[in-house]
Amino acid sequence: MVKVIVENLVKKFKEVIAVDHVSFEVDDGELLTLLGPSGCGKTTTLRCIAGLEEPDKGSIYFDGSIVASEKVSLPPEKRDIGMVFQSYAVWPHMTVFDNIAYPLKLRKMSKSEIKERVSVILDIVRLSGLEGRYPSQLSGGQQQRVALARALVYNPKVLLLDEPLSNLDAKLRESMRLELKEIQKKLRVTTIYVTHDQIEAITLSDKIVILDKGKIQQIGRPKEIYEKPANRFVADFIGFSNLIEGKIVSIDEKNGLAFVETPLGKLICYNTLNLSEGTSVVVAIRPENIIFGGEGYKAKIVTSAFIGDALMYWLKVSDITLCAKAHTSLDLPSGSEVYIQLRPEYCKVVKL
Amino acid sequence: MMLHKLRKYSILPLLLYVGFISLPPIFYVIYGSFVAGGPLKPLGFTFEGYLAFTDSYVQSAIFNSFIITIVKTCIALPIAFLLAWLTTRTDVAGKGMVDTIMPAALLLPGFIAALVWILLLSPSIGLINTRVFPMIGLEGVTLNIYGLWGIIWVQSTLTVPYAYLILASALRNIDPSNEEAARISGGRTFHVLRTVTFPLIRPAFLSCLILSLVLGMEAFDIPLLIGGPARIPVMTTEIYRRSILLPPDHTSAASISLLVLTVALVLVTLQRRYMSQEYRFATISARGYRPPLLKLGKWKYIASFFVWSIIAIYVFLPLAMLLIVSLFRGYPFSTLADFTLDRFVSVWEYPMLKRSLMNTFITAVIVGIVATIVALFVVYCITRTNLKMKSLLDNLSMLPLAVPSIVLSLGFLWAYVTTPLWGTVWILVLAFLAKGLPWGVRATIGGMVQIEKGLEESSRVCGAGWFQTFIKIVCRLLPGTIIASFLLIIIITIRELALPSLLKAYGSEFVSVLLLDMWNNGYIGETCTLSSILIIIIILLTITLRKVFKTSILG
Repeated sequence: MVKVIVENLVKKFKEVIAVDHVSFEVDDGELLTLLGPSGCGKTTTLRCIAGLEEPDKGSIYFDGSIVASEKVSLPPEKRDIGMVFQSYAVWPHMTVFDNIAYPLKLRKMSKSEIKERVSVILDIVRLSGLEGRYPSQLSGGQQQRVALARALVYNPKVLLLDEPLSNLDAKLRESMRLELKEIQKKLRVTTIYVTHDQIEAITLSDKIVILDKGKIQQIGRPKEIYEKPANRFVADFIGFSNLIEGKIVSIDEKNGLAFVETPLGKLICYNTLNLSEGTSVVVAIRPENIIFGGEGYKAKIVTSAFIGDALMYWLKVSDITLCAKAHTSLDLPSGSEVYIQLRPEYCKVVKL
Repeated sequence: MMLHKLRKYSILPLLLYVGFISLPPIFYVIYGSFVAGGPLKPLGFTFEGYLAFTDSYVQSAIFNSFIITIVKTCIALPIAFLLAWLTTRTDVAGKGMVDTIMPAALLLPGFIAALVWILLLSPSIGLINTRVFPMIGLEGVTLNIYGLWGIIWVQSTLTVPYAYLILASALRNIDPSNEEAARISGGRTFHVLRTVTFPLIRPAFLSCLILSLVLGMEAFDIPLLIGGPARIPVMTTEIYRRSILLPPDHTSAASISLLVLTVALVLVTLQRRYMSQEYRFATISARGYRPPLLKLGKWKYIASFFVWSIIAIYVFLPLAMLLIVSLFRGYPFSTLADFTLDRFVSVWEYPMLKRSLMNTFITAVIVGIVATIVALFVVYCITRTNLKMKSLLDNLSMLPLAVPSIVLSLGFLWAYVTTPLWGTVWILVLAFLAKGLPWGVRATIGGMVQIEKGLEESSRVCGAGWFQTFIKIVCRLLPGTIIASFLLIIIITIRELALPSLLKAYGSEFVSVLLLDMWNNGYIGETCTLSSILIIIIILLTITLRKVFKTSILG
């Protein structure tokens, strides 16, 4: 029912352009993530959609009707949205019940209906029984659920989430991530999610928009982005730690391969982006996709680090340092020499 | 579209109100200094008002104002800093008590402090001179309050409490890890104090210094009570003297006012600069965490003696003296048999006392409510919106802070003497609304900036308009701040002498003026009794409101 369209959005703060001609669409019931490092403009974009900032240019539509443009900016209270803030912003002077009932009271609902709705949503976010508590008596995760319940209780057209999990500890973050996805699918509410965490984005989203310096770098489904990063920035941001610059010297269209001249020599890569011969490119390889042993490149181990479930190796291959992830059973001393393979399916060609 | 535009102009009524109460007095003081014949019978343009500056009496008034202000600041600030450092950083004895007592010292109005110190240190009737010195064998030794040093002394006793409160809270707000890091790097106590602690609170110290200078320049009650009999004029008392001459010389009074006003404006502008820097340094540390205390060792006794002597002399002595004089028949009393509670009953028969009290409290409550509400809106506009005119609003609302009370009242006199408001209590209400606004803004702004923006934004997103959000979220999160602002304005109103001195009329008497009247008529005991009653009322009011709202106020 509710489709959100953002068209050519521009927002400046004095001289700094925070959001630079950003356009994307969110289909009904879809969860879209705005992903990027801090200062990339993701939160500003979200705040424009919420009505907390007024855009300098561009327009925002909810279901075909305009909510913001250069001329009009509907105040947030007129947009029928729900929002969860990074800090949760649960009101400390109200109980859990009062916090969640607040938007319902504003909508002049009867007491019995408010009670009914609050208890339903409390059940969904699994907070039943804590109605009478004050936020100071709740844990971070519980406060976060209160914020979510408050944002959902009036069935808003659109749900906006501004880094809702970033203040939780790692373990809680993981379980809340799954729960959040479950709730969103259950209520089928159109959702825009802001985060700087690529794993969060990939596990939660139907669609991801990657932003850097206010500009869109890539839009796509999580799998698409994970497997076919469009450019160097995206590749780097979603975990391709090894980026080797080079130039496409020839193309094998039949097999979808590109031959890239790099300081390591000629690399055979999958040409997922269909780039043409002569293009300057970056070959991106994930650390876990560098395979030890077999025939390939001779590498010298510079140093290694134990990271729990794996070992990270920093390797020197003809003046280039590569980072590789290996199983903990493979224990190699620094200074020793090994052979590594860089397989075509793992070598992604991306734009500079 | 329409809504968008409307919102931009919603600041206008507020701006008009603030302009209406803060601009006329300044405008009329400037205007009045050029108009011969006074506000009732203006005779046209003149420069004669400025000839006052050639008068040697006026020149000595200017000189005295500066000397008193500078010297009392130089005495009070080091004492306050040492006290604050000792109570926040060392294991000096009874430091928790100091924090309770110091705010109470703020409740002592200047004119009462002056009376008490006269009763202690007058050469003819001062208790210390006539009784204590002979008793301890210092026959013939006299400390004379009636002099420049007397004024300086009493003013410094009033400066120490607020300077202490500002500095102690600044010291407490420093993240203790700053000092810990310095100590771990090998810094010794004094070195850390000089290179880390002091630089971190420098903005607070400078702002405190300037506040002391401003309040010194605009002090009126103490110079009037002590400097009057001693024939030591200062600028404020000279403005007052010229305004109540028969016939009054409102023109030259306005000319002298302009000088005080200029000095105060420059100082307040400087202070606001440092205040904004103070926010830059604000590093609120985790709640409940206290930095480890410095063990003073053998110095502990000396330090504790110093702290408690200061408290005894600055706070306990004046309050005790006040109570003693009100509880004994005659002055100076001779035996314990003179003890009596009669005065607490008989004082009410003093003419116009009840009316004065009514006038004072009604004015205080009205002004407290109105100024607090206006201050809330002003602070909201300043901190929460990006309206174009907000800095104008900010400056206009802080402007009365730079107008010394006696200048403010002269300005109101020039502006309103021909209107029907004159001679009623409403002119006082208006003047106190101007006086109270900047203090309300100051009391509110700290609380407001601590409210996280998201708390309001989430209310907006939930469907509440800005006004609903303001009432249901902002105001509900600030009860302590609101009460503090209300109390502060009430106390300022009760302890003010300069405003009602020029603006009162028959029927609109104020209790501070009445006290002065009692004193001048020789009712020493009654004056002290009424003073005690006033202080008790203020303390009870503070405690009740604190209890009701369970918040720390004035801290």
